[in-house]
Amino acid sequence: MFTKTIAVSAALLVGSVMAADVPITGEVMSKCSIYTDTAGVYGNPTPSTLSTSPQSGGVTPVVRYDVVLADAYKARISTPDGFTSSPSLTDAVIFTGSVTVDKVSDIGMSGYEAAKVTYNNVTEYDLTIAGSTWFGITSAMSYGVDKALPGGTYKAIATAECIAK
Amino acid sequence: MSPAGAHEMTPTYPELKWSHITNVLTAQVVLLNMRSDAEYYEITVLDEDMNNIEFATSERILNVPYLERKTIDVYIRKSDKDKATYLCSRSRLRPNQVQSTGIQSRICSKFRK
Repeated sequence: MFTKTIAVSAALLVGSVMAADVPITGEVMSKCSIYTDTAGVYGNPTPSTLSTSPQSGGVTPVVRYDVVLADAYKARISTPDGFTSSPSLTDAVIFTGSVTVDKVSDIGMSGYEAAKVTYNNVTEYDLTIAGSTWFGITSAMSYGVDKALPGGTYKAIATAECIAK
Repeated sequence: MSPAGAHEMTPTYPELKWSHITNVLTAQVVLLNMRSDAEYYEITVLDEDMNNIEFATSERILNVPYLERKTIDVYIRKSDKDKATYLCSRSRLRPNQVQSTGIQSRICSKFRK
């Protein structure tokens, strides 16, 4: 009995010593992370249009960029210019879109919106300050001349890129 | 509304080093997938104008399960050393994983020269 007690006590002692020595290490490296914060949904405010604007019954997709190193990356965000899947469309489809800074983690990032560069369906931001920036992506489309969209599911993809400078 | 998920790649400036093969250089990055809606990523090597450059790696489209990280080794020819500028990973979304508006993410690291 005495021997068993010693053995159990020794096992518990060894276990407790091992648990006390579990190391936790971490490293903060220069990096960019792209978070898909909110998935977008198209609203259908009129029979011929779709829009992610909340005023049109949609949900604006939001992406968050986290950069650890200041002035090392630029964000390049493209709004959709076509559907990845949709019912058959026989008339002209016109896409429009815009990207805006939604939230920032550092007051110094307040100048990002004024300094953005836009061309075609692409918007570029220079991420000059380390921290988090949220971007809202608005996408809208119209079909023909007030032509009603056929019923079905419409899907499109926006692209969020983080490119080292 | 979906929960936030992230695509992350380190380091920002990977270094091109000589590999064990003559006239071939190699660089290494680590990809972390925290997107529950994406499990495949495409690897590309690009020049400064974002044109493709030939390279070798074990898988160009690789499976990175949710919350896992993968180390990626790419190999380029010595003759492409000066042209190769970016090493990029891009999420590949399956049509059934896209909601109304999906988001494709791409991160490009820049070779240290």
